[in-house]
Amino acid sequence: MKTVQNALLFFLLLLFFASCEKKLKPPTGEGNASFIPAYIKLRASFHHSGNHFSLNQVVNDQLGRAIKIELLKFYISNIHLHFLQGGTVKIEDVLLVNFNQSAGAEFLIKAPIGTYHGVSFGLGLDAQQNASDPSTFPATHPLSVLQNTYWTWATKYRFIMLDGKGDGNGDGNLNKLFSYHAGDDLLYNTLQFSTASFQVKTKQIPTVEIKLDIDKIFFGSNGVIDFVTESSTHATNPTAFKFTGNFADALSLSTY
Amino acid sequence: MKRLLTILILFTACKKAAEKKTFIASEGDYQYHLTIPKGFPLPLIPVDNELTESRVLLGKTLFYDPILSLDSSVSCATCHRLNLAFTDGQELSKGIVNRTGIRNTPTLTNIAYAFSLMFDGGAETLELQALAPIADHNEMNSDMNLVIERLKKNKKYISLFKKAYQREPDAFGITRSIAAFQRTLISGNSPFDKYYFQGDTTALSASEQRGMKLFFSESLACSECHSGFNFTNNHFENNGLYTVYADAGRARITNLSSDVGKFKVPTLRNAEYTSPYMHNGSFSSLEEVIAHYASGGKNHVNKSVLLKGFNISETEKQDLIHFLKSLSDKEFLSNKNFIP
Ligand code: HEC
Ligand code: HEC
Repeated sequence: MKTVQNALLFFLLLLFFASCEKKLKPPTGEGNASFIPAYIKLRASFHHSGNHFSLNQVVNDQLGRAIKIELLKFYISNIHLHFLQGGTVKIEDVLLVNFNQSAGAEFLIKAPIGTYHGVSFGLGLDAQQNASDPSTFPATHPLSVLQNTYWTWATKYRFIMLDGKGDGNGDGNLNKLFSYHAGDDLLYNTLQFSTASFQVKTKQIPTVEIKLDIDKIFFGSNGVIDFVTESSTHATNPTAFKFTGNFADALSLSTY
Repeated sequence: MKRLLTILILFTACKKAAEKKTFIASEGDYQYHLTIPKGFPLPLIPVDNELTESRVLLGKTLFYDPILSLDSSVSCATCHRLNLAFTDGQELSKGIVNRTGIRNTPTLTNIAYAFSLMFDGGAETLELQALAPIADHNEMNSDMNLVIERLKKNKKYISLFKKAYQREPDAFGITRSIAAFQRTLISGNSPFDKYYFQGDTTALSASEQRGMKLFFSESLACSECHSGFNFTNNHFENNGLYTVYADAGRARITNLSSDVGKFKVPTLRNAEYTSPYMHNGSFSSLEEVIAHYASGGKNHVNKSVLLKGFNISETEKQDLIHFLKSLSDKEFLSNKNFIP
């Protein structure tokens, strides 16, 4: 009986520890000669009606109107991998996905060796990151003022920036500008995705792909955003909430 | 602890009114000598931006240099002019290619003591605030990448940045130094100061003294909002300018309907030189301002209960204006330390 109790206690303790967040060892492996870094590749891709598409490419929206996206950047933060056996590990604090830069949509990230079945991250920046002073970061850091994501008049970051043009009146000219910039602590959301199980090990770099479906941004679960009548967002107005909600729902994730 | 030290250093620095220089070993430079007027507290200086001579010099140089704007036409001093207590005399500010901004240029008098910046409190520190005009479409319409590129090509700036912050020109040094310079813009030697803080009973005329009593009276309530040594309670208040506000004020940042029409209470020091008044420059004279307060202002759900309106005689109005003008500090307005 006592052994059963002890075993149960041991098991509970194990569960308790496993469910705690594990701290990632310093990737340099200092003081740990056997540390061999492993990686995942995180890429973001942009889709329309099931096909890949890129910035400045003209496509039709759900109402058959021609549109093109000219700028698209967004932050993801506190990226965690979920172990198959339970528990999570944080692999990155913050990334800026920037489709305007060739390197801005693909990242190689150090991750501990293991088997995983899910990924979670925040869309936007957490309150602490959002309160950073952007002039204190090195030029290439995602939070640097040089990324042009900082809202200087409000001293906070834009979480998502999407600018483009559309043919609002069917005259063949893409001359209706739209600009959706959203960012506020209230707009921060953690998104969680389950995936098929994947392994991180040396010499095998799995890819985690974040797909963004442009159709769902404009015609999404939080409502329709018509670029003619609702062509911009401001601070935390209702459009900013709708836009951010739709954007979150427009993201899906796969691994291979 | 470091902050305490700063305060201590500052304190000893101003005690010894003599020009003895204090060397700050950790910064490799001399302490900038801030003269704190009688009756004034010490301003808070952030620990990562101690005031040193070379930092203030760099900040001052940048403040007056149009290099920060896209087409090198506009500097901070284009809008913030010393002889107008760092305002520009326009209703709404005019920036690059004469673009009209959305608000009136506020004074930078005693800005070191501000709790928050901008009419809506959109920035909390001078370091963060400095980013705004550089990027603002209507002001300098510039890009930090471009500014840094230009500064890095300039020998004078390379050496100024090195001396001030031991680094190449970058956003950190730009924002820190401009903030440091602005913290030196202290004004506390007006006739009012001489009378009230420095014990010179002859410094205010009889009319100015009567105006002072009115200003601090319960019925006028000016000093409820324009309170303390710097004539501001540092709050956001709705002073009854409109029934419908085109500029949401504080609500632009907080999105709260209870903040609509609330603006930062400005200092009244040097107000003689900061017309036109209010966030949109809608009043051109102190007479108009007083007429507004006397009327009790327009109705608005957020209007402060202190705006009750009052009835004063023509002489009393003049007394009040004379008092407001006794807050002008002529030494400040021509201080050679504030120009390059
Ligand atoms: C085109 C005119 C213009 C230029 C150029 C300009 N400013 Fe301003 N400044 C303004 C206006 C207008 C405001 C008020 C803005 C608001 O409240 O939204 C302001 C506000 C400020 C404030 C806040 C004051 C307070 O009481 O809260 C500071 C500090 C300041 N400016 C410093 C600077 C610095 C430093 C520069 C140069 C880097 C600069 N300004 C360039 C017009 C200008
Ligand atoms: C309820 C608080 C409140 C009271 C009481 C009050 N003020 Fe003000 N005052 C303000 C606010 C807020 C502003 C700025 C409004 C804006 O920017 O639109 C202001 C602006 C001013 C200005 C313009 C300053 C500038 O540089 O633009 C003057 C002058 C002034 N007040 C004088 C007075 C006088 C004189 C009294 C008393 C008769 C008084 N105020 C009472 C809140 C108050």
